[in-house]
Amino acid sequence: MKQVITLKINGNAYEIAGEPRDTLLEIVRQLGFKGAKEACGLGECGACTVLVAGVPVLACLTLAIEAEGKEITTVEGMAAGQELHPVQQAFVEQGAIQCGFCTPGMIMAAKSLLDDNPDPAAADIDQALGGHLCRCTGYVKIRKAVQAAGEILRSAKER
Amino acid sequence: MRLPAFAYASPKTVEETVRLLAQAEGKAKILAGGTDLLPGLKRRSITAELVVNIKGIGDLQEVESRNGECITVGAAVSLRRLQGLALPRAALQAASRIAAAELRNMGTIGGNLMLDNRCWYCDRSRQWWRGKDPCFKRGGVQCYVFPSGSQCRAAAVSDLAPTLMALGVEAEIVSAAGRRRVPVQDLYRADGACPHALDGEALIMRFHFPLLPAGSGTAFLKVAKRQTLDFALVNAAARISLADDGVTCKEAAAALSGSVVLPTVVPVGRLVGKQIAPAILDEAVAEAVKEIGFITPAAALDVPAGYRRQTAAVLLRRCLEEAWAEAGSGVTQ
Repeated sequence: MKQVITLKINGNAYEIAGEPRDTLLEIVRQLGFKGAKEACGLGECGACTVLVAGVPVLACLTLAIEAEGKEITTVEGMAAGQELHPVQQAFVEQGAIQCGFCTPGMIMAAKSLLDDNPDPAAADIDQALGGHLCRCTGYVKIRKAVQAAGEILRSAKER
Repeated sequence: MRLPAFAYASPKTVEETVRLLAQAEGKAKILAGGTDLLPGLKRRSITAELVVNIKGIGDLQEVESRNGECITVGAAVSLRRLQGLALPRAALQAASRIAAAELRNMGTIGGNLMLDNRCWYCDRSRQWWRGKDPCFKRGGVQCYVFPSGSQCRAAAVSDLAPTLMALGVEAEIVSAAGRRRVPVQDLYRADGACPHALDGEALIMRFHFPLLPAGSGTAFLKVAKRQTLDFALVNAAARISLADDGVTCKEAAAALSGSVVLPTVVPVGRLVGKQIAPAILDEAVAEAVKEIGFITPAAALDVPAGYRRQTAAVLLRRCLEEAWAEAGSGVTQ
Protein backbone atom coordinates (compact mmCIF):
# COMPACT_ATOMS: atom_id res chain seq x y z
CA MET A 1 0.00 0.00 0.00
CA LYS A 2 1.34 3.40 -0.94
CA GLN A 3 1.94 6.05 1.67
CA VAL A 4 3.49 9.48 1.72
CA ILE A 5 7.21 9.40 2.49
CA THR A 6 8.85 12.70 3.41
CA LEU A 7 12.59 12.92 2.87
CA LYS A 8 15.06 15.75 3.43
CA ILE A 9 17.60 15.51 0.64
CA ASN A 10 20.46 18.00 0.24
CA GLY A 11 18.63 20.51 2.44
CA ASN A 12 15.27 20.38 0.62
CA ALA A 13 12.17 18.47 1.71
CA TYR A 14 10.50 16.10 -0.77
CA GLU A 15 7.20 14.22 -0.52
CA ILE A 16 6.71 11.12 -2.59
CA ALA A 17 4.16 8.29 -2.60
CA GLY A 18 5.97 5.04 -1.84
CA GLU A 19 5.71 1.60 -0.30
CA PRO A 20 7.59 0.20 2.70
CA ARG A 21 9.61 -1.94 0.29
CA ASP A 22 10.98 1.04 -1.64
CA THR A 23 14.67 1.46 -0.92
CA LEU A 24 16.20 4.86 -0.33
CA LEU A 25 18.16 4.35 -3.57
CA GLU A 26 15.01 3.82 -5.63
CA ILE A 27 13.38 6.93 -4.17
CA VAL A 28 16.35 9.30 -4.52
CA ARG A 29 16.80 8.20 -8.13
CA GLN A 30 13.06 8.67 -8.81
CA LEU A 31 13.44 12.19 -7.43
CA GLY A 32 16.13 12.86 -10.03
CA PHE A 33 19.28 12.38 -7.92
CA LYS A 34 20.91 9.94 -10.31
CA GLY A 35 24.39 10.19 -8.78
CA ALA A 36 23.87 7.17 -6.53
CA LYS A 37 23.94 4.04 -8.72
CA GLU A 38 22.55 0.57 -8.39
CA ALA A 39 25.11 -2.04 -9.36
CA CYS A 40 24.90 -5.15 -7.18
CA GLY A 41 21.91 -4.16 -5.05
CA LEU A 42 23.27 -6.45 -2.33
CA GLY A 43 25.81 -4.34 -0.43
CA GLU A 44 28.92 -5.60 -2.19
CA CYS A 45 29.96 -2.65 -4.38
CA GLY A 46 29.35 0.69 -2.62
CA ALA A 47 28.05 2.45 -5.77
CA CYS A 48 24.83 3.52 -4.00
CA THR A 49 26.52 5.17 -1.00
CA VAL A 50 24.82 8.31 0.35
CA LEU A 51 25.18 10.10 3.67
CA VAL A 52 22.33 9.70 6.16
CA ALA A 53 22.82 12.03 9.14
CA GLY A 54 26.41 12.55 7.95
CA VAL A 55 27.29 8.86 7.97
CA PRO A 56 27.87 6.91 4.74
CA VAL A 57 25.35 4.09 4.29
CA LEU A 58 24.30 1.92 1.37
CA ALA A 59 21.08 3.34 -0.05
CA CYS A 60 20.22 0.01 -1.73
CA LEU A 61 19.97 -1.65 1.70
CA THR A 62 18.16 1.18 3.49
CA LEU A 63 14.38 1.43 3.36
CA ALA A 64 13.21 4.90 2.37
CA ILE A 65 10.78 5.06 5.30
CA GLU A 66 13.65 4.42 7.72
CA ALA A 67 15.35 7.57 6.47
CA GLU A 68 12.37 9.84 7.15
CA GLY A 69 13.30 12.83 9.28
CA LYS A 70 17.04 12.38 8.71
CA GLU A 71 19.37 14.60 6.71
CA ILE A 72 20.26 12.84 3.45
CA THR A 73 23.19 14.02 1.31
CA THR A 74 23.83 12.75 -2.21
CA VAL A 75 26.69 13.67 -4.52
CA GLU A 76 24.43 16.36 -6.04
CA GLY A 77 24.48 18.16 -2.71
CA MET A 78 28.27 18.43 -2.53
CA ALA A 79 29.01 21.36 -4.83
CA ALA A 80 28.24 24.95 -3.78
CA GLY A 81 26.58 26.31 -6.91
CA GLN A 82 29.11 26.02 -9.74
CA GLU A 83 32.02 25.45 -7.35
CA LEU A 84 32.93 21.82 -6.81
CA HIS A 85 33.55 20.42 -3.32
CA PRO A 86 37.31 19.94 -2.67
CA VAL A 87 36.84 16.14 -2.83
CA GLN A 88 35.18 16.42 -6.26
CA GLN A 89 37.83 18.90 -7.43
CA ALA A 90 40.62 16.56 -6.33
CA PHE A 91 39.02 13.59 -8.15
CA VAL A 92 38.92 15.64 -11.36
CA GLU A 93 42.46 16.99 -11.02
CA GLN A 94 44.05 13.67 -10.10
CA GLY A 95 42.34 11.77 -12.91
CA ALA A 96 40.61 9.55 -10.37
CA ILE A 97 37.54 9.24 -12.62
CA GLN A 98 37.51 6.83 -15.52
CA CYS A 99 34.02 5.58 -16.41
CA GLY A 100 32.62 7.46 -13.39
CA PHE A 101 30.18 4.79 -12.24
CA CYS A 102 31.75 4.26 -8.81
CA THR A 103 32.74 7.91 -8.37
CA PRO A 104 29.66 9.26 -6.50
CA GLY A 105 29.90 6.47 -3.92
CA MET A 106 33.66 6.92 -3.57
CA ILE A 107 33.22 10.68 -3.11
CA MET A 108 30.60 10.29 -0.38
CA ALA A 109 32.80 7.84 1.53
CA ALA A 110 35.86 10.05 1.06
CA LYS A 111 34.01 13.15 2.29
CA SER A 112 32.89 11.34 5.43
CA LEU A 113 36.44 10.09 6.06
CA LEU A 114 37.95 13.57 5.61
CA ASP A 115 35.27 15.16 7.84
CA ASP A 116 36.44 12.87 10.66
CA ASN A 117 40.15 12.90 9.81
CA PRO A 118 41.49 15.50 7.32
CA ASP A 119 44.95 13.86 7.28
CA PRO A 120 44.32 10.14 6.70
CA ALA A 121 47.14 7.64 6.18
CA ALA A 122 46.97 5.44 3.08
CA ALA A 123 45.77 2.56 5.29
CA ASP A 124 42.89 4.71 6.63
CA ILE A 125 41.81 5.52 3.09
CA ASP A 126 41.96 1.85 2.11
CA GLN A 127 39.81 1.00 5.14
CA ALA A 128 37.23 3.72 4.41
CA LEU A 129 36.98 2.90 0.69
CA GLY A 130 37.38 -0.88 1.06
CA GLY A 131 33.69 -1.43 0.40
CA HIS A 132 33.79 0.37 -2.97
CA LEU A 133 34.55 -1.45 -6.19
CA CYS A 134 36.05 0.37 -9.18
CA ARG A 135 36.00 -1.97 -12.19
CA CYS A 136 38.28 0.37 -14.14
CA THR A 137 40.64 -0.46 -11.23
CA GLY A 138 41.68 3.16 -10.77
CA TYR A 139 42.36 2.64 -7.09
CA VAL A 140 45.81 4.25 -6.95
CA LYS A 141 44.59 7.56 -8.37
CA ILE A 142 41.50 7.45 -6.17
CA ARG A 143 43.69 7.09 -3.10
CA LYS A 144 45.87 9.99 -4.36
CA ALA A 145 42.77 12.11 -4.93
CA VAL A 146 41.59 11.56 -1.36
CA GLN A 147 45.02 12.59 -0.05
CA ALA A 148 44.97 15.67 -2.31
CA ALA A 149 41.45 16.56 -1.11
CA GLY A 150 42.69 16.28 2.47
CA GLU A 151 45.46 18.76 1.66
CA ILE A 152 42.99 21.23 0.14
CA LEU A 153 40.70 20.93 3.17
CA ARG A 154 43.58 21.34 5.63
CA SER A 155 44.97 24.43 3.89
CA ALA A 156 41.44 25.92 3.75
CA LYS A 157 41.14 25.43 7.52
CA GLU A 158 44.49 27.12 8.23
CA ARG A 159 43.55 30.18 6.24
CA MET B 1 16.58 -5.63 -7.71
CA ARG B 2 13.19 -4.93 -6.16
CA LEU B 3 12.30 -6.02 -2.67
CA PRO B 4 9.18 -8.18 -2.37
CA ALA B 5 6.12 -6.51 -0.82
CA PHE B 6 5.80 -6.72 2.97
CA ALA B 7 3.98 -5.01 5.83
CA TYR B 8 6.19 -2.76 7.96
CA ALA B 9 6.15 -1.94 11.65
CA SER B 10 8.44 0.29 13.67
CA PRO B 11 7.66 -0.39 17.34
CA LYS B 12 9.05 1.85 20.06
CA THR B 13 9.26 -0.69 22.91
CA VAL B 14 10.53 -4.23 23.39
CA GLU B 15 7.12 -5.35 24.69
CA GLU B 16 5.38 -4.12 21.54
CA THR B 17 8.00 -5.87 19.37
CA VAL B 18 7.53 -9.18 21.17
CA ARG B 19 3.76 -8.88 20.78
CA LEU B 20 4.11 -8.20 17.03
CA LEU B 21 6.49 -11.14 16.58
CA ALA B 22 4.15 -13.49 18.48
CA GLN B 23 1.13 -12.35 16.46
CA ALA B 24 2.95 -12.95 13.18
CA GLU B 25 3.57 -16.61 14.18
CA GLY B 26 7.04 -16.82 12.68
CA LYS B 27 6.20 -14.90 9.49
CA ALA B 28 7.84 -11.70 10.73
CA LYS B 29 11.50 -10.80 10.30
CA ILE B 30 13.47 -8.40 12.48
CA LEU B 31 15.14 -5.48 10.66
CA ALA B 32 18.14 -3.98 12.45
CA GLY B 33 21.05 -3.10 10.15
CA GLY B 34 19.29 -4.68 7.19
CA THR B 35 22.59 -5.61 5.56
CA ASP B 36 21.74 -9.33 5.56
CA LEU B 37 17.94 -9.27 5.70
CA LEU B 38 17.42 -7.04 2.65
CA PRO B 39 19.81 -8.97 0.33
CA GLY B 40 18.07 -12.18 1.44
CA LEU B 41 14.65 -10.71 0.67
CA LYS B 42 15.90 -9.43 -2.70
CA ARG B 43 17.27 -12.88 -3.61
CA ARG B 44 13.99 -14.37 -2.34
CA SER B 45 15.98 -16.71 -0.09
CA ILE B 46 14.24 -15.13 2.93
CA THR B 47 10.50 -14.52 3.05
CA ALA B 48 8.75 -12.08 5.37
CA GLU B 49 5.11 -11.00 5.57
CA LEU B 50 6.00 -8.42 8.20
CA VAL B 51 9.27 -6.56 8.68
CA VAL B 52 9.74 -5.21 12.21
CA ASN B 53 12.26 -2.37 12.41
CA ILE B 54 13.84 -2.39 15.89
CA LYS B 55 16.19 0.57 15.38
CA GLY B 56 13.74 2.97 17.02
CA ILE B 57 13.77 1.10 20.36
CA GLY B 58 15.85 3.08 22.86
CA ASP B 59 16.54 0.08 25.17
CA LEU B 60 18.32 -1.75 22.35
CA GLN B 61 20.74 1.16 21.81
CA GLU B 62 21.82 1.41 25.44
CA VAL B 63 25.34 0.74 26.68
CA GLU B 64 26.07 0.36 30.38
CA SER B 65 29.51 0.75 31.96
CA ARG B 66 30.98 0.04 35.39
CA ASN B 67 34.33 1.49 36.51
CA GLY B 68 34.92 2.70 32.97
CA GLU B 69 34.43 -0.74 31.44
CA CYS B 70 31.50 -1.74 29.33
CA ILE B 71 29.29 -4.44 30.90
CA THR B 72 26.16 -4.48 28.74
CA VAL B 73 25.69 -3.60 25.08
CA GLY B 74 22.25 -3.24 23.48
CA ALA B 75 21.60 -5.63 20.59
CA ALA B 76 20.99 -2.81 18.07
CA VAL B 77 24.25 -0.95 18.81
CA SER B 78 25.99 -0.44 15.46
CA LEU B 79 29.30 -2.13 14.72
CA ARG B 80 30.84 1.30 14.17
CA ARG B 81 29.81 2.34 17.70
CA LEU B 82 30.99 -1.00 19.07
CA GLN B 83 34.49 -0.26 17.72
CA GLY B 84 34.70 2.74 20.05
CA LEU B 85 33.42 1.13 23.30
CA ALA B 86 35.55 0.23 26.33
CA LEU B 87 35.47 -3.50 25.61
CA PRO B 88 38.15 -6.22 25.68
CA ARG B 89 40.59 -5.85 22.78
CA ALA B 90 39.35 -8.95 20.94
CA ALA B 91 35.83 -7.52 20.62
CA LEU B 92 37.18 -4.30 19.09
CA GLN B 93 39.50 -6.20 16.74
CA ALA B 94 36.61 -8.38 15.59
CA ALA B 95 34.23 -5.45 15.10
CA SER B 96 36.79 -3.59 12.99
CA ARG B 97 37.31 -6.59 10.67
CA ILE B 98 33.64 -7.05 9.78
CA ALA B 99 32.68 -6.21 6.17
CA ALA B 100 33.41 -2.60 5.13
CA ALA B 101 32.92 0.85 6.66
CA GLU B 102 29.41 1.48 5.27
CA LEU B 103 28.20 -1.93 6.36
CA ARG B 104 29.63 -1.37 9.85
CA ASN B 105 27.76 1.94 10.02
CA MET B 106 24.55 0.04 9.33
CA GLY B 107 25.08 -3.43 10.83
CA THR B 108 24.52 -4.20 14.51
CA ILE B 109 26.10 -6.46 17.12
CA GLY B 110 22.92 -8.55 17.38
CA GLY B 111 22.67 -8.80 13.60
CA ASN B 112 26.26 -10.00 13.23
CA LEU B 113 25.66 -12.75 15.80
CA MET B 114 22.47 -13.76 14.00
CA LEU B 115 24.23 -13.85 10.62
CA ASP B 116 22.96 -16.72 8.52
CA ASN B 117 25.43 -19.45 7.57
CA ARG B 118 26.87 -19.08 4.09
CA CYS B 119 27.48 -21.35 1.15
CA TRP B 120 28.75 -20.06 -2.17
CA TYR B 121 26.94 -22.82 -3.97
CA CYS B 122 23.61 -21.99 -2.38
CA ASP B 123 23.83 -18.18 -2.29
CA ARG B 124 23.08 -17.59 -5.95
CA SER B 125 20.27 -15.85 -7.72
CA ARG B 126 16.74 -17.08 -8.27
CA GLN B 127 17.50 -17.36 -11.98
CA TRP B 128 20.47 -19.64 -11.33
CA TRP B 129 18.36 -21.96 -9.19
CA ARG B 130 15.47 -22.07 -11.64
CA GLY B 131 14.86 -25.64 -12.80
CA LYS B 132 17.25 -27.18 -10.24
CA ASP B 133 16.09 -29.22 -7.28
CA PRO B 134 16.60 -27.16 -4.11
CA CYS B 135 19.37 -28.01 -1.65
CA PHE B 136 18.90 -28.45 2.12
CA LYS B 137 19.25 -24.72 2.73
CA ARG B 138 16.52 -23.98 0.20
CA GLY B 139 14.14 -26.51 1.71
CA GLY B 140 15.18 -29.52 -0.37
CA VAL B 141 16.62 -32.89 0.59
CA GLN B 142 20.13 -32.86 -0.92
CA CYS B 143 23.44 -31.02 -0.84
CA TYR B 144 25.34 -30.31 -4.06
CA VAL B 145 28.63 -29.58 -2.23
CA PHE B 146 28.57 -32.83 -0.22
CA PRO B 147 26.33 -35.16 -2.23
CA SER B 148 26.62 -37.90 0.39
CA GLY B 149 25.86 -35.56 3.32
CA SER B 150 22.68 -35.83 5.32
CA GLN B 151 22.46 -32.15 6.26
CA CYS B 152 23.45 -28.64 5.20
CA ARG B 153 27.13 -27.73 5.61
CA ALA B 154 26.88 -23.96 5.12
CA ALA B 155 29.60 -22.22 7.14
CA ALA B 156 29.18 -20.02 10.21
CA VAL B 157 31.02 -16.77 9.37
CA SER B 158 30.15 -14.26 12.11
CA ASP B 159 33.32 -12.60 13.41
CA LEU B 160 31.74 -11.67 16.72
CA ALA B 161 30.40 -15.16 17.49
CA PRO B 162 33.74 -16.83 18.37
CA THR B 163 34.91 -13.62 20.03
CA LEU B 164 31.98 -13.27 22.39
CA MET B 165 32.14 -17.01 23.08
CA ALA B 166 35.81 -16.75 24.13
CA LEU B 167 34.96 -13.73 26.29
CA GLY B 168 32.15 -15.60 28.08
CA VAL B 169 29.43 -13.16 27.00
CA GLU B 170 25.75 -13.91 27.66
CA ALA B 171 22.79 -12.85 25.53
CA GLU B 172 19.59 -11.60 27.19
CA ILE B 173 16.62 -12.87 25.19
CA VAL B 174 13.06 -11.64 25.51
CA SER B 175 9.99 -13.40 24.13
CA ALA B 176 6.31 -13.77 25.04
CA ALA B 177 7.41 -16.43 27.54
CA GLY B 178 9.61 -13.94 29.43
CA ARG B 179 13.27 -13.06 29.72
CA ARG B 180 16.25 -15.36 29.96
CA ARG B 181 20.03 -15.20 29.73
CA VAL B 182 22.01 -17.74 27.76
CA PRO B 183 25.71 -18.05 26.88
CA VAL B 184 26.36 -16.91 23.30
CA GLN B 185 27.27 -20.45 22.17
CA ASP B 186 23.72 -21.57 23.01
CA LEU B 187 22.38 -19.30 20.25
CA TYR B 188 23.62 -21.74 17.60
CA ARG B 189 22.83 -25.21 16.27
CA ALA B 190 25.00 -27.54 14.19
CA ASP B 191 22.81 -27.29 11.10
CA GLY B 192 23.82 -24.97 8.27
CA ALA B 193 20.27 -24.71 6.94
CA CYS B 194 18.84 -23.59 10.25
CA PRO B 195 21.82 -22.41 12.32
CA HIS B 196 20.06 -20.48 15.08
CA ALA B 197 18.55 -21.89 18.23
CA LEU B 198 16.20 -18.89 18.59
CA ASP B 199 12.72 -19.12 17.12
CA GLY B 200 11.18 -16.31 15.09
CA GLU B 201 9.32 -14.97 18.12
CA ALA B 202 12.35 -14.18 20.29
CA LEU B 203 14.38 -10.97 20.34
CA ILE B 204 17.91 -10.49 21.67
CA MET B 205 17.82 -7.44 23.89
CA ARG B 206 21.39 -6.98 25.05
CA PHE B 207 24.71 -8.70 25.66
CA HIS B 208 26.29 -9.04 29.11
CA PHE B 209 30.10 -8.81 29.10
CA PRO B 210 31.76 -10.26 32.20
CA LEU B 211 34.46 -8.04 33.74
CA LEU B 212 37.77 -9.79 33.16
CA PRO B 213 40.09 -10.22 36.15
CA ALA B 214 43.27 -8.12 36.36
CA GLY B 215 46.07 -9.67 34.29
CA SER B 216 43.82 -10.74 31.41
CA GLY B 217 44.45 -10.50 27.69
CA THR B 218 42.33 -11.18 24.62
CA ALA B 219 42.90 -11.36 20.87
CA PHE B 220 40.96 -11.92 17.65
CA LEU B 221 42.36 -12.81 14.23
CA LYS B 222 40.73 -13.47 10.89
CA VAL B 223 41.94 -14.82 7.57
CA ALA B 224 39.93 -13.93 4.46
CA LYS B 225 40.83 -13.45 0.81
CA ARG B 226 40.31 -9.69 1.02
CA GLN B 227 41.18 -7.33 3.86
CA THR B 228 37.79 -5.64 3.81
CA LEU B 229 34.36 -6.78 2.70
CA ASP B 230 34.94 -10.47 2.92
CA PHE B 231 33.72 -13.30 5.08
CA ALA B 232 36.21 -15.26 7.13
CA LEU B 233 37.86 -18.39 5.82
CA VAL B 234 38.81 -18.91 9.43
CA ASN B 235 38.51 -16.61 12.43
CA ALA B 236 39.56 -17.24 16.01
CA ALA B 237 39.53 -15.52 19.38
CA ALA B 238 41.25 -16.27 22.68
CA ARG B 239 41.26 -15.07 26.27
CA ILE B 240 43.99 -15.70 28.85
CA SER B 241 43.89 -14.70 32.52
CA LEU B 242 47.11 -14.99 34.52
CA ALA B 243 47.50 -15.90 38.19
CA ASP B 244 48.80 -13.35 40.74
CA ASP B 245 52.42 -14.26 39.91
CA GLY B 246 51.87 -12.68 36.46
CA VAL B 247 53.27 -15.61 34.48
CA THR B 248 51.13 -18.69 35.18
CA CYS B 249 47.90 -19.18 33.24
CA LYS B 250 44.84 -19.27 35.50
CA GLU B 251 42.06 -19.31 32.91
CA ALA B 252 42.07 -19.89 29.17
CA ALA B 253 39.31 -19.91 26.59
CA ALA B 254 39.25 -19.93 22.80
CA ALA B 255 36.75 -20.32 20.00
CA LEU B 256 36.81 -20.40 16.24
CA SER B 257 34.52 -20.15 13.28
CA GLY B 258 34.50 -19.50 9.55
CA SER B 259 35.08 -23.02 8.25
CA VAL B 260 32.78 -24.86 10.59
CA VAL B 261 29.02 -25.26 10.60
CA LEU B 262 28.83 -24.35 14.28
CA PRO B 263 30.97 -21.60 15.90
CA THR B 264 33.01 -23.77 18.23
CA VAL B 265 34.52 -23.31 21.69
CA VAL B 266 37.77 -25.25 21.53
CA PRO B 267 39.33 -26.88 24.59
CA VAL B 268 42.47 -25.07 25.79
CA GLY B 269 42.23 -26.11 29.46
CA ARG B 270 45.65 -27.77 29.08
CA LEU B 271 47.22 -24.30 29.37
CA VAL B 272 45.90 -23.74 32.91
CA GLY B 273 48.66 -23.89 35.50
CA LYS B 274 51.38 -23.59 32.86
CA GLN B 275 53.75 -20.81 31.88
CA ILE B 276 53.96 -19.75 28.26
CA ALA B 277 56.35 -21.83 26.16
CA PRO B 278 56.28 -22.83 22.49
CA ALA B 279 55.93 -26.53 23.30
CA ILE B 280 52.96 -25.92 25.61
CA LEU B 281 51.18 -23.83 22.96
CA ASP B 282 51.88 -26.41 20.24
CA GLU B 283 50.34 -29.16 22.35
CA ALA B 284 47.30 -27.10 23.30
CA VAL B 285 46.61 -26.03 19.71
CA ALA B 286 47.06 -29.55 18.32
CA GLU B 287 44.55 -30.84 20.85
CA ALA B 288 42.13 -27.96 20.26
CA VAL B 289 42.10 -28.34 16.48
CA LYS B 290 41.73 -32.12 16.71
CA GLU B 291 38.43 -31.57 18.45
CA ILE B 292 36.98 -29.67 15.49
CA GLY B 293 34.93 -32.32 13.82
CA PHE B 294 34.20 -31.15 10.33
CA ILE B 295 35.89 -28.45 8.27
CA THR B 296 33.53 -27.21 5.57
CA PRO B 297 34.66 -25.38 2.43
CA ALA B 298 31.14 -24.01 1.88
CA ALA B 299 32.08 -20.36 2.49
CA ALA B 300 34.70 -20.46 -0.30
CA LEU B 301 34.57 -23.54 -2.48
CA ASP B 302 38.04 -23.13 -3.96
CA VAL B 303 39.98 -23.39 -0.69
CA PRO B 304 40.74 -26.98 0.33
CA ALA B 305 39.88 -28.28 3.79
CA GLY B 306 43.54 -29.06 4.54
CA TYR B 307 44.49 -25.39 4.16
CA ARG B 308 41.62 -24.34 6.40
CA ARG B 309 42.53 -26.82 9.12
CA GLN B 310 46.15 -25.63 9.02
CA THR B 311 45.01 -21.99 9.07
CA ALA B 312 42.75 -22.68 12.04
CA ALA B 313 45.72 -24.05 13.99
CA VAL B 314 47.99 -21.11 13.09
CA LEU B 315 45.34 -18.50 13.92
CA LEU B 316 44.49 -20.15 17.20
CA ARG B 317 48.15 -20.24 18.20
CA ARG B 318 48.71 -16.58 17.30
CA CYS B 319 45.57 -15.57 19.20
CA LEU B 320 46.76 -17.40 22.31
CA GLU B 321 50.21 -15.82 22.02
CA GLU B 322 48.79 -12.31 21.59
CA ALA B 323 46.30 -12.73 24.43
CA TRP B 324 49.06 -14.06 26.67
CA ALA B 325 51.35 -11.15 25.76
CA GLU B 326 48.60 -8.65 26.58
CA ALA B 327 47.81 -10.39 29.86
CA GLY B 328 51.48 -10.36 30.84
CA SER B 329 51.99 -6.72 29.91
CA GLY B 330 49.66 -5.66 32.71
CA VAL B 331 47.35 -3.93 30.27
CA THR B 332 43.85 -5.17 31.06
CA GLN B 333 41.24 -4.17 28.58
